[in-house]
Amino acid sequence: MADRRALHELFLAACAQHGDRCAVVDDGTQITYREFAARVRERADRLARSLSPREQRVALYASNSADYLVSYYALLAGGRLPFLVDAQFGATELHGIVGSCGVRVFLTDKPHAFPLPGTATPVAGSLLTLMRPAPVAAPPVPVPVPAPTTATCRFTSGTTGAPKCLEFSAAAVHSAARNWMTGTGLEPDDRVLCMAAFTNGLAFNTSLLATFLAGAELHVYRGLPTSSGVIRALRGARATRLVAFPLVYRVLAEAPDPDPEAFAHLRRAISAAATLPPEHRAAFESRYGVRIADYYGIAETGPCTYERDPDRTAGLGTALPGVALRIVERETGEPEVLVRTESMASRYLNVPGGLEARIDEDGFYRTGDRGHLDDGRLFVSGRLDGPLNLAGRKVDPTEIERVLTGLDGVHDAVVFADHDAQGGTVLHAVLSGPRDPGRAEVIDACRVHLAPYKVPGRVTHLPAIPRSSAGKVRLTELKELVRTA
Amino acid sequence: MTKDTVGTGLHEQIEHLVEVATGKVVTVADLRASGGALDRAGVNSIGYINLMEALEQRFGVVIDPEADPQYLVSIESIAQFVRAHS
Repeated sequence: MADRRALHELFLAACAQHGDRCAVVDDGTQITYREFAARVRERADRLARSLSPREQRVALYASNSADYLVSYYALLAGGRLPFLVDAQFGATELHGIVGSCGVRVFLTDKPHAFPLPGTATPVAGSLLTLMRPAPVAAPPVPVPVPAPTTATCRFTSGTTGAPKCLEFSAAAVHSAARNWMTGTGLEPDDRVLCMAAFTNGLAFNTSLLATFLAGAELHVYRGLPTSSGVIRALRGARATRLVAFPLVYRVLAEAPDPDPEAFAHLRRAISAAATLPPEHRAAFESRYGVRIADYYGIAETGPCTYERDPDRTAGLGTALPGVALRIVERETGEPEVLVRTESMASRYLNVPGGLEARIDEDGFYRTGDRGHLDDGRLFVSGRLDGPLNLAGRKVDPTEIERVLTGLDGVHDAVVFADHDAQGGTVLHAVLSGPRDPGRAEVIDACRVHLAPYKVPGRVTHLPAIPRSSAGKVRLTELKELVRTA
Repeated sequence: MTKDTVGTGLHEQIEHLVEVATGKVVTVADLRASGGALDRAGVNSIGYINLMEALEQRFGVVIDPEADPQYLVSIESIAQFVRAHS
C-alpha cells in the first residue's frame, strides 16, 4: 500500500521519531532531529510572510548547507513547490527557468552574484535571500501548470536554452528514499558524508530523505573536494558512508597525505554518475581497505542499481527494490538499457511529451546508455545518444551550440566530448563561419551564459562543419578534420 | 622546499601546474592570453581540484577556496599565496 503522506509530513514524522538524535552536521554545528523540525516550522512561517500566495513556485539556488535543507522542507511544509536549481547555472539557464517554468522567485545564498537583475529580500534567520528577477518583456507564452501531485522539481540539461524541468511526485521521492534505504542497508547509526550538490540525483536520492527516514546523520561538505578537504571531513564526521563521484576516489587514491585513520569508520564508499577507472578503484581500496560500491541512477528515474556483493569489482550492481531492468536492441543492433522504477519523474514541465516519448508501453524509460545484463547485474559501456556525461554531469551539446552560434560571424557550431591529455572528458567546440572569434572570446561568451562546467575547453575553427544531407554532423570526419586543423 | 626555490620562476612553475592539471586543455599561451586569470583561460572545476592537489604536492600549501577564495583566481594570486605560506 503506497504511503500517501506529503513529503513534509514524512520528514516531520521522521524528526518526531528520531527526536534528539543528530540529523545534520554543517560547519561543525550539530542539529538534532527535534531542532531540525523546529527550524523548518519557523522557516515556513517566515517564508509565508515573505512570499505572496501567488508565489507557489520557489527555486532553491544555493550551495549545500543545513540552511538549504531547512528551506527545502520549509517550502514543502508551506505548501510551495520547490525547484532545486544547480547553483552553477548562469544567466541563460536561469532566464530559461523563469520563462519556461513560471518560477518568479529564487532563494539564494549569492544575492550579490545572482546572474539576473532583480530585487533582493533577506529572509530573517536564514543565510538565504529571496531574489525576484525583474520581468523581461517577451511575447506572451503560456506558463505550464505542474501536475497536482508534483512535490519537487529538479533539472537536467535541455536543448532549448532552458534546462529540462523534471516533476517528481511525493510518492516518487519517497520511493527513491525508501528503496535506497532498504536496498543499501542504511541504518540509524550511519554517518553519511555526501560530496554531491543537493540538486544532483546522487545526493538528492541517497542522502536527503533516505538519511532522515533512517534516523542517520548527514554531514554537509562545503567547497571543492580536494583530498585534504575530504580526508578532514571524513575524520571529523567519523563517516560510515561516503557518497561521491569517481573524481573524489581518484584524488583520495593519489592523496599526498592519505591518513588511513580518517577512514577507520567507513563501511561503504559509493561511486556513481560516471565510470570509475579500475586503477583508481584498486588504488583507493588497497590504500584505505574500503571497498567502493557502484550505484547507477538517472535523473529521470532515480536510483536503479547498487552493488551489494563485496567480492564484485565489475558492473554496476543489481536492481534496487522497486526497479526493473531490461535490455532492448535498437534498430542499429546496439543494446540499450531500459529501466522502470517507482521513483520516476512524472514528466518534463517545460518539454511537453518529452519524457513520455522515451517511455515504452510497459513503462520502461529508454536511458540512451549502451549496456547489458549478466545474471541480473548491470554493465554500462557508453552512451548511444542524448546528453554527454561530463564527470557525472549531463550536458546537452545543443545548449552550448546555441550560445556559440550567437557569436558574431559564427554560422555553425558543434560541441562533442573529446579527451584531454590524461584521458579525461573535455568539451570540444568546433565553429565555422566568416569570422574566427578565437578561444578566449568563446570561453568568455559561454562563461556569461552557462554554468562553468558547460564551457568548452577546446575550440577549433573550420571552414565548414561536415554534415550529411539531412544536416546531421558526420562526427568521425569532423574529428579527423579537427585533429589535422 | 625553500622559499628561494619557490621564488625561482614561480610563475612559470604554476603555469606549468595549471597546464598539467587541465590535461593540457589550458596551455601556458592560453593563460598568458587571459592575463593569468584561470576562469578566463577556461580552467574548470576538475582543473581547479587537480591544481589544488598539485599545489599541495609541489609546494606543500593548501588553498581553501571557501576561506581564501581570492587566492585561487590567477597565476599571480596563487604565487602570492605560495610565497606567503611555503
